[in-house]
Amino acid sequence: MNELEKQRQIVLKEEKKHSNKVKLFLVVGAILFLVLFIVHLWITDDFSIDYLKSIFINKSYKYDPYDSRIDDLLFIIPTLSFLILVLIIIALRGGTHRLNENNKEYQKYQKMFKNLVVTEALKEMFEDVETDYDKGIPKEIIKETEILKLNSIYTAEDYHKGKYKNINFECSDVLIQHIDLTNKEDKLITDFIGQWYIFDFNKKINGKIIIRKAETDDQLKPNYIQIEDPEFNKYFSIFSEDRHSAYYVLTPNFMEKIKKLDNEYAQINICIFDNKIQIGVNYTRKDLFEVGYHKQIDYTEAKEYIKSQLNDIINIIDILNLDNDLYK
Amino acid sequence: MSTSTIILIVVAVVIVIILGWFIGTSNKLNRAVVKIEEADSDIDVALTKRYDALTKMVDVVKGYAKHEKETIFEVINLRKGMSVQEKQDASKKMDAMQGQINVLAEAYPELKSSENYNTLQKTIVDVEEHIQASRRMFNANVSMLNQMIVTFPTSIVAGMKGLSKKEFFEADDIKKEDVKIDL
Repeated sequence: MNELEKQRQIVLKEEKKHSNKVKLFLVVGAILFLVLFIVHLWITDDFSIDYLKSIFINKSYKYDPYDSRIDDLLFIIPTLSFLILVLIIIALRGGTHRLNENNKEYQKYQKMFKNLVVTEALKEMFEDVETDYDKGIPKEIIKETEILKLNSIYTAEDYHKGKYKNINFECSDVLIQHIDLTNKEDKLITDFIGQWYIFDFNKKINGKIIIRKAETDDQLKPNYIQIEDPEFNKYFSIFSEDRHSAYYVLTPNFMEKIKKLDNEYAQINICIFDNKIQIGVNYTRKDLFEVGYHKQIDYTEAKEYIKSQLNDIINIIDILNLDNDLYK
Repeated sequence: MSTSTIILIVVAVVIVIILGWFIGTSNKLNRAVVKIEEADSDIDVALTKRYDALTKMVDVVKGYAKHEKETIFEVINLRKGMSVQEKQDASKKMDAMQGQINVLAEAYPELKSSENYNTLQKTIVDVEEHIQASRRMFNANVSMLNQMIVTFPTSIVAGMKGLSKKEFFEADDIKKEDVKIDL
C-alpha cells in the first residue's frame, strides 16, 4: 500500500505540472485574446483605421472602404479571438482538474491499484483466480455471439478468471462500437459497453442459442424462434438452429431467471454454446475498477468497494443456478 | 381498351391473388404440420432414452434389492407410430416406475449412495428435461396449428386439406414444473 500511496503522490505531482502548463496556456491565451480584441476594436473604429494601416500595411496608405485587405483583417482578427476563447474554455473544462487517462503515471497507478486491491479482492471471493488487466476476452470468442458487426471496433481489458461454486468464470470490460455508414457523417455507435462474463454451462446442446433484447425486425431474421411464453417473446429474441435445444435450455424456470436478471441489470445479451454461457451486461461505464487519486486510499474500504462490484459474478451464478450439476 | 377486357383483367388479377393466398396458406399449414411431426418424433426419441435409462436403473436396483418379492417393474411397450394418448400412457407408466425406484432407494441407503445409481438418476433427470422440451415444443406447434384451423379464412384451406385440430400432449401437474430430484 505504501507503493500505491507513493505512486498516488507522483500522479498528484504530474497533475500539478499539467495544471501549471494549463495555467500558463490560459494566461498567454487570455493576453492574446485581450490584445486581439483591442486591436479588433481599434480597427473597426474608422478613426484608428488609417493610423493602423499606415503602420501595418503601407505608410502612405489612404483609407479605402473597398480595400479587400481590410475585410480580410476584419475577418481574421475576430475569428482568431474566438478560437482562442474556445481553447481557453476547453482548457478550463478539461485540462485543469484531471490528468489525461493516457498519462503514463496515471496508468501505472491504476495498474498498481488493480494488482494490489482488485486481485486481493478476487482471491478472497473466488478460487483459482488469474488476472491480466492489460488484455480482455478475445474478440473471436465474442464474435460467436453475433453481437459484433463486420465493421465493429472492439476493445477489452481487465481480464480476470476464477471459480465459484465449482463454476469457472471469465470476465472483462468490453466496449463494442461501429461506424454508422448509413449516415453522411461517420457516426460512432456504441453497441455494447459493460462487463462480459463467460460461465460454465452444464447442459449440453446442439449449436448455439442467442438471447437478446427484442428488436422489431428480428422475426424476419434466420433461426428466429418463438417460445411458448408470450411475455418472454415480447422482451427477448431467441435465435437457434436447433429448436429443441432452445426449448431444452429455456425451461419456464430458466426463462423466469433470465427475466429477473434482465430486471436487475440495464440490458443483457446471452449466448450459449460449447458448454459455456456468455452474458454481456451493459453498464453506463466501461471500467469498473478505476480508482480516483485525489484522496488517500483506504485499503479496506477500497477492497470492499471492489468486492461489491465483483458481486455481480456471484449474483449471476446464483440467479441462474449455474452450479446445478445435474447435467454434468 | 374495351370494358370486357378490363373485366377480364380484373377477374384474372383477383384469381391470381386468391391462388397466391391459397398456396401461401397451404404451405404455412404444411409447415406447421411438419413442425408437429418433428416435435412428435423428438418425444419418441426422448421417451426411448428415458425407457433405456430406467431399464438400466432397474438392473442396478435389482443388484441391491435381490430379496424384493414383488415384481414392481411394469413392462412398457414402446413402438413406432404411437398415438399421443399412448405416449402419455407410456410416460405415466415410466413415472410410476421411477416412483417405485425412488421408494426402493429410500429403503436401501447403499443403493441411494452408489455412484451408478446417482449417475443414472442424473441421466434420467436430463432425459426428462428433454421430454419436457419436446412436449412444450409439440404443444406450442399444436396450439399454432389449431389456431390457424379455427381462424377464418385459413379454416377454409385447412378444411379443404382435411386438417383437424390436433391433440395436446398433456403433462402431469408435477411434470409441468422443472424437473427436480432429491438425490
